[in-house]
Amino acid sequence: MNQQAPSIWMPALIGGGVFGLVGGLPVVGGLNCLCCSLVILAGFLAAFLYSKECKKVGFEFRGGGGAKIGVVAGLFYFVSHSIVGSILAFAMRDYNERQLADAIEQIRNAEGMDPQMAEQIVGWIEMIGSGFSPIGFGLVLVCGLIFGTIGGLIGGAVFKVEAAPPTPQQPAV
Amino acid sequence: MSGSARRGVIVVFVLAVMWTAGIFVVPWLADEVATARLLYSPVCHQLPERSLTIAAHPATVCARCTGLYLGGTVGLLLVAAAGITLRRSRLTWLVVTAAPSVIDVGAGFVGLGGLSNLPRLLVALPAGVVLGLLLGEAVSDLAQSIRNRDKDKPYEFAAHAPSSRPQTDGTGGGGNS
Repeated sequence: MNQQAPSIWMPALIGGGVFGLVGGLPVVGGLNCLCCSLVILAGFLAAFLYSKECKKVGFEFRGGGGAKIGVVAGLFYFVSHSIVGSILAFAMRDYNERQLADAIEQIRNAEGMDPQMAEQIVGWIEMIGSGFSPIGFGLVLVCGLIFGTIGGLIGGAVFKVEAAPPTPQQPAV
Repeated sequence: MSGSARRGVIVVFVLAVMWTAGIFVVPWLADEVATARLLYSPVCHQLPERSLTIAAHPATVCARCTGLYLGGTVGLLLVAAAGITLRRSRLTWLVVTAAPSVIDVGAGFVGLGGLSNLPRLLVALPAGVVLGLLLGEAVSDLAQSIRNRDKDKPYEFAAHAPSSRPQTDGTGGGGNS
């Protein structure tokens, strides 16, 4: 293959950065509760942007190539999400503490919930805490890498680009 | 689909089966290994009222996620067993099948209420199948490209070997084969 592969960094940075920022925000970040949809979308967007670059230069891009760009997008997602999440967790720490206490109270008083399970959920919540704990960072990193790769793979399958046909060689004079 | 591509899809399919089986199996074991629910907590809100009830316990993920994972596993099975892939209009398939779930999520966000658990699962199922088909196709492509790269390595070595070694008399010097 003669074509030079476009750089994966910028598409991955845009995909991971944008959705990491969204994921770090309150309320909309809750969309990650749908099978890490924001992380998957980060890899998907990165694959879409990369496919456009590939189309320009006639470089082949398929599902397999999407894995590479997806994992890098997942890494950028982690960085972006962590920065935004840490800033917000610090700025809203009093509010978060109150929300956390309310949530724990609700779980303990929930009707029909197994008390043992309720205590376990409370335990997890207290372990993760209202701010950004090391466990929280670890979870975002692992989810970013796994689901970013899945998003990149799916994006690669959707935005497939075939290699440009080789240019005919000039006959030697 | 080549053998290596199929093997790649089968590996991912088996992982998907294990993950999806956990949604239904963990509630049965709730008293003993309830911490297994923790594994699913980063990917789902796990609200009991939004989850199917299995053995008097909520499933490890909500009904919508259950639909997506079940559908995804079916999609991977179709690719692994029958080599079925979406030939064209992949994005259209994705948008059309995901639209009902997106509308349901949107309705919940703006306070219009949403579907109950079983319809929510059924609505998410087709999107899961399409995602599984796309993922299976991509994984088979990835496995194939890894296989091709590995195959190319000895060829490159063989191609360069004669020029990088001193010529022998052809009786064989016991070099690496």
